[in-house]
Amino acid sequence: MVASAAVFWRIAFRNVWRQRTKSLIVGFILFLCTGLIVFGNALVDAVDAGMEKSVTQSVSGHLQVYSAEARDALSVFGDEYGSMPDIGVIPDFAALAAAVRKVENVRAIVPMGINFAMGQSGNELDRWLATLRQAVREGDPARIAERRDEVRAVCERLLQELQNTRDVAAADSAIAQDIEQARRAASPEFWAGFDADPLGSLEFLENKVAPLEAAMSELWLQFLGTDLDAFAQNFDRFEIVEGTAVPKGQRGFLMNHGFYEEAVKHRVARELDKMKKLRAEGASFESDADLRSRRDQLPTQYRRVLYQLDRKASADLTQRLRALLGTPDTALPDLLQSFLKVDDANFDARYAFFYEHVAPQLQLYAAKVGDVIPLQGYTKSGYSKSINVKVYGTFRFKGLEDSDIGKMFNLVDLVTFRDLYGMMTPERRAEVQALREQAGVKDVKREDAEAALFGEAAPAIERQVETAEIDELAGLAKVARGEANQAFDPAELERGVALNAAVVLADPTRLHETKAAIEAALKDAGLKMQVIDWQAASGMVGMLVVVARGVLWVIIFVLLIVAAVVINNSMVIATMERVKEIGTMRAIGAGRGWIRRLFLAETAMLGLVSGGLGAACAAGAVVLWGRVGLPAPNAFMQFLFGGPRLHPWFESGHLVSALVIILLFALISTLYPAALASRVSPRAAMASDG
Amino acid sequence: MQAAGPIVVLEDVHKDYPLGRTVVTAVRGVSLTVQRGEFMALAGPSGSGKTTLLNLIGCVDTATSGRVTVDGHDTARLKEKGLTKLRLERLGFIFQSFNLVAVLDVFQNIEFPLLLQKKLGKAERAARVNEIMERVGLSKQAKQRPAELSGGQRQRVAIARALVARPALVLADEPTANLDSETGERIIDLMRELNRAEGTTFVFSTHDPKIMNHADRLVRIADGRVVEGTN
Ligand SMILES: Nc1ncnc2c1ncn2[C@@H]1O[C@H](COP(=O)(O)OP(=O)(O)O)[C@@H](O)[C@H]1O
Ligand SMILES: [Mg+2]
Repeated sequence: MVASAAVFWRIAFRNVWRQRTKSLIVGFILFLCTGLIVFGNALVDAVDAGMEKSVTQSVSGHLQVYSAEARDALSVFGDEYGSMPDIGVIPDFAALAAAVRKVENVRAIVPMGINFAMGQSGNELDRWLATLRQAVREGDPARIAERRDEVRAVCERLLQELQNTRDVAAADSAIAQDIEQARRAASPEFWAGFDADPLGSLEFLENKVAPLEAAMSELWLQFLGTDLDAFAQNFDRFEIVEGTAVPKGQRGFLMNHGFYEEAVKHRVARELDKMKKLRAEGASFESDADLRSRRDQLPTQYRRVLYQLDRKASADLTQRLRALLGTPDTALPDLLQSFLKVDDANFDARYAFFYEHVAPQLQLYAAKVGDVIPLQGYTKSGYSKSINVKVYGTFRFKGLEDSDIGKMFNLVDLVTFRDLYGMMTPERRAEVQALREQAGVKDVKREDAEAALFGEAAPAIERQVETAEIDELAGLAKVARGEANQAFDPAELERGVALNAAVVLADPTRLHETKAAIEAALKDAGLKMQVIDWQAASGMVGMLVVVARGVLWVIIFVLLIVAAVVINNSMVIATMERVKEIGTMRAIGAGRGWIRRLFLAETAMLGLVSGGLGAACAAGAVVLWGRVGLPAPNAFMQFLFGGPRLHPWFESGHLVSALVIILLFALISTLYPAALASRVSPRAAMASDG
Repeated sequence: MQAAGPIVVLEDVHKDYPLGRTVVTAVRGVSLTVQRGEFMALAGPSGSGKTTLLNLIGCVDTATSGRVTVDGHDTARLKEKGLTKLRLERLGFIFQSFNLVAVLDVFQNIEFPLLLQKKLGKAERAARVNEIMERVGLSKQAKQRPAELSGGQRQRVAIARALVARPALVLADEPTANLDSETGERIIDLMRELNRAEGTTFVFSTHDPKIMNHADRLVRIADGRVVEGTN
């Protein structure tokens, strides 16, 4: 028995050797397949884990809880169109938190809500107008004259800029109207009449002209309203970069540092930074198309510098630029444009000059740490409301600094979020009630109340929102009170409404078990909530790993099919070449089954050797790579890798499944040739070979 | 097994081969009895039906009509497995082109039928193989591969392989056709010697008059019929 098996394997082995070329081809494909299964899966595993870290430790937590009655599925990074899904509300976060905290393995539950707002940096004209009003109030003619001329200069630039906009945007009637206002503000007649009616003129400038400039400097931001302390404690990747955390019980805004550098920073400075970075990475204007198009765009941005300069700074910079560029008679606009024409030779010098002489004269960031910025949000039914919040600091998600998703959210306290979103708390409801009474619309429907208060027809409300929970008037109450009260009772964070809640687990490997336990606890507590894991919560982004794994298996499957075809073909050919030998064995007394098994053994051997080699090589590569780490080539990869480098690890399960799959495929593709061989007649042994 | 009675009995055996739309009749009504211990030559020109007859006797082909009895078994009644068993246990084959397993050495080639039989242990097998290697004069070549041997040596390996399991009947289809005449005669002499010593029945085919003369009994066939030598 043992001996006959030995000769059998010996024959199988020697045949594999004898047909070296064929074995090499088949073996190579099998090698590739096993290698790919082991290596590819290790890679996808690592990306899976990396992404899990990126997602769970930055925004989503391990699980997300939100209303079971939500219209859309929760997706913390937005849907494929970048808009926020309608996920309903958690009416009483405290009740939810109480139920969830009882579940074992839950480390924390953090209330959340994601929304967009328009952040307005206090703009230039506003600042000058404020100083002018001050001067008018003080009645100092010299100061009035000086500041009046500054305002006039800003108005002239504004007109110029608006006219440029018109050139681009054809004849838009709204822009035409704006230009009319700006033209009036820039006209000599208007300024001739200023001293006669300073307050009336200031009113016109503040109400009609300043908003024009504001519209050109608007900044859209996405923010996550949350319990900032709980957030900082439970999301390990969060860290403050500049400034401080928001003090407990205070309203406050934390700017995402990446967003701060890229969207809040002065456009020209930002472009120069980006060019410097690309050049440091080895690109040159000569070779890189992106860099070239940025270079070509840059001089057109000169007004962003020009309009921020006061007269003194303008004069000063004119001198310096004339000296630098060697053109003594050129005016500042042209000087700036030439200055911004950078190339490989002058870039470093221009960059240094910019930061030394130009940047100090500019408002380098539209909003800085310490500023109070107005956040203008839109409620569900489309009313806008504005709340001033202080920017306490900037933060980042460690390891995700460069990734788009890591730069996606700014943070704001939950109370401010609720106000902007139009959520009702009992106090708010009382305030609104009072407002309604003031407005004399006591018993009218809410839509009518809004119409009455806003002095216009209420826009159609898309759907009936829970009046008890959300009220668009809440924000108005704030505005009506003027400066928002900056302090709140920390208990208020728990008591009110949230949109969703992140659950952070002590042991993430028990995610599914804990998810089920939370679902049961919610059911017991009678809360109509649903629980999803981080992968589902990250929407399209979460699908990425699933898609990647799918693609990997499709590639493997295609390779396996190719391998199967090649094995089948070459084995059929081998059968034909070996007819005489097979016939001889059959004549001597080998049964059909013996012949069939011999062929299967040959493939099995080839599969084991090449598959084993492939798996071993892949495992070696994985281990080596795991030690060194694969650097993330770009920001998105950094997000997928969960940091700047990916460290895959070897998983013996993949090796076993790879070998099983390879053997199975190899054996299946040998079934036909083996059957063919087993049907060779022993008479074939007798046939003379000429 | 069966010790009594003739080893082979052919009764009015016909064999047709379909060939395209026509039928080739390779054997037309052969009746022939081979007694145990005979050393018999089947002589005839090329195409006369020698190989076909040996195939029928060797249980690797079935007759179109008539009866073939080998070692007491009516071969038409045996299924595939039974025929394989009969070949493995009772028959030995020697081929014109030697048909050794290329990937096995001399010892392993000779041992092969014993391994298929699974009857003997390792030591017994080795003893058997060594003994027969000695008999055919190949002891020194035990570790060599067929490709390293001369034609005569290869045919000796084949003879050893055919005899190692002590069959009742050895069939050899033109065993000397691929050898020069001197080597051929020595191979026939070796077979003759083994026939005498072991009492194994040999039936071999040839078209070489020199070789036929070494046989005890000569059966001539032509055009699928026995023309001389029926008992
Ligand atoms: N498989 C076969 N198919 C068709 N014809 C065959 C086949 N085998 C043998 N024949 C024919 O049968 C006849 C006898 O052949 P064979 O027994 O090989 O003769 P020999 O061995 O005496 O040369 C020949 O005419 C040959 O062409
Ligand atoms: Mg022949």
